[in-house]
Amino acid sequence: MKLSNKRFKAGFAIASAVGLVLTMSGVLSPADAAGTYKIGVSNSWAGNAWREEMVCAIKAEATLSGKVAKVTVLSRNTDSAGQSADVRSLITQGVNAIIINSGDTSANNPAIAEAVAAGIKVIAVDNSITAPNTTLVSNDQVAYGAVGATALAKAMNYKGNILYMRGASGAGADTDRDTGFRSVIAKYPNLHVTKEVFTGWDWTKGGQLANQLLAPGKFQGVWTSGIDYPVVQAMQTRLKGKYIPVVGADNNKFVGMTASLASKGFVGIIVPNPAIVGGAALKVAVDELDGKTVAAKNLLHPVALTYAHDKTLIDSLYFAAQDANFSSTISLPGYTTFNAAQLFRCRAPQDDPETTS
Amino acid sequence: MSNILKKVQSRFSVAMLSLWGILFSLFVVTGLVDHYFFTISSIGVTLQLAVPLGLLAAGQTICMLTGGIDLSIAMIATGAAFIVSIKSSSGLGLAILYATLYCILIGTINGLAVGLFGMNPLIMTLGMNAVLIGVFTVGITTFLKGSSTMPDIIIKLSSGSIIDPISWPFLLWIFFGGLIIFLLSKTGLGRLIYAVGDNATAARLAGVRVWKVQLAAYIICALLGGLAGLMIGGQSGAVAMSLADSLVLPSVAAVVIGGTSIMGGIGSYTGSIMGALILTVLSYLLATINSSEAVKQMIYGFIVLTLAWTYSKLTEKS
Repeated sequence: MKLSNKRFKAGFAIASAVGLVLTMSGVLSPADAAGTYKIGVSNSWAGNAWREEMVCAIKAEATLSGKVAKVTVLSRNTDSAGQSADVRSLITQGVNAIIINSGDTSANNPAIAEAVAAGIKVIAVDNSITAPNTTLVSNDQVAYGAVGATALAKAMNYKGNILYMRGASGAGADTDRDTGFRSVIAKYPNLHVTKEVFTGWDWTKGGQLANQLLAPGKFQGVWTSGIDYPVVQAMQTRLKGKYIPVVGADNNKFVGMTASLASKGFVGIIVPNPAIVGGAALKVAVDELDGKTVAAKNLLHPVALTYAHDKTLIDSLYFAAQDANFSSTISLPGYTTFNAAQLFRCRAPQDDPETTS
Repeated sequence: MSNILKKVQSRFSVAMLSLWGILFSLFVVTGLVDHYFFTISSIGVTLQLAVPLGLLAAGQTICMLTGGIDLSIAMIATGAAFIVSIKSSSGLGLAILYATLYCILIGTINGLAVGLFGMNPLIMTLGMNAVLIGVFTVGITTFLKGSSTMPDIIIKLSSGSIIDPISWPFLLWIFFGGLIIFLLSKTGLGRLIYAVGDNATAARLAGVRVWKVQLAAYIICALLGGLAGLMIGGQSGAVAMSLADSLVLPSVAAVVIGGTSIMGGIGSYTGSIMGALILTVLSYLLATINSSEAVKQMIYGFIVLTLAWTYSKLTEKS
């Protein structure tokens, strides 16, 4: 009994010490939050590197803007019902603007309409939504498909068979990219899409499909919807070190391979799909809250990069210390103001400047 | 007793023969659809791609023989790949040690919950999977940040060919597959696994510590899952949250097609190997035919159902 009493006392002491530290840090932390706007973020796909980077871009840009007091992020793997609940929760928390990467083009519309009715600015990022009185900030996905296809056609000398590796069947971005891709390929009678598959934007499945489908002489080029470097790796085993042109995104490892394998004859075509489009969405949100006139659709215009033409740029896009699937575009001129270090810190305005990594 | 054994054996040989027949006809059909399939290197790649599924199915076979199932195997595999990826900078040996400990930990929790506390294996492992998804979702932005590629040696061991169609992963599969077959057919633990799955109460009354057998089964299953995770990561060159997602249901399907009873007690790893090969050739076939994704899903589901149904009928009759 005595022993347990002692234990209890010790435990109480530790608990109160921890409590004290927590209270102190709570008092100290929001010291430099200068702004007044409260921004809510709803993200329907957690654990995805691209989406996490998108959220960090929102936080970093909010901190640098000096106009935001707090960024509340509701990020989880959820369906439309869950995401609608998150939107409603953000409304209750009294945010001034909601940045939403919606899992569905229309299923969240009722909750979004409630937000709009409550005077909250709603900005759809990456995935478009059909709800009225909202603003879109995203990559131009039709152009994304088209510029990659144009560069691929050129790299293939406008003839040969294409392995066409799409994203997820039915997803808005996939359909848009397909429209752009086909509009270009249709112009060249000697280019044939001999194989069309869906990777579901799943790295494992993409690598498996590439391993199964690639064989010497079978294809002269590959278009991917961003599942790119597993395809290059599959070429190393399947084509015995011979390479055919591949269209990919600004995934860190693909960027690295485009640079390092250029001397071995690999033509990587990089069409960036920047995750930091989140930072652009934050800028648009702040502009709207400031009362500036903002276009309903704000599209980023993708370009195709090859090592032959854009060596310096591609070299600058590779970050050896970052993840393989890190989206390596770290600046969108006119939209974002953070540098790489500020993006990697992932700090929201309300976070303690010392402890957040 | 020996009479029953003989019956079981003859039943399995008929079934095994039919599995060979199915594999062969799928092989021929795939080759007719895509003539690139009939090359030594394509066969090599198919064998390579069957290895992760084969290892997952090995774990699943052992669990299912005890009357259980492991649905957390996807996140066990993914977790092991993440751990090796992040820890490989401080030495491959250490990285593999950490991954092994991780697998043993999860296997132990699963095994104790099922064996000692009588949790339903389906619920327990599904719940475990959800918990692990949560842990690793937080992890990739914090303690696992920077982990998304596999060390070169793992890439080599999971996709490097020696002389087509023989590859390093295939040799690994032969080694571990041999161990599993030996474990199940020649060791005491193997016999206990069958006994527990056949009738846990009888086994307990005969003096078997049923929970210990189940614990061992889930730990072995987790270790095989971890190994499969490394293979998948090495083959695709990428480590991501969805790493093993697409192989969980096929791992169960491979075991069922291979004739292992989901109720436990009946089956063999040889059958699961055939199941894994059949499903891999089938996925190659589906990848080569040009049809919409929905149609492919339907064909896949239909064939798996037909195979499982036919097999269970076949083993029932004789």
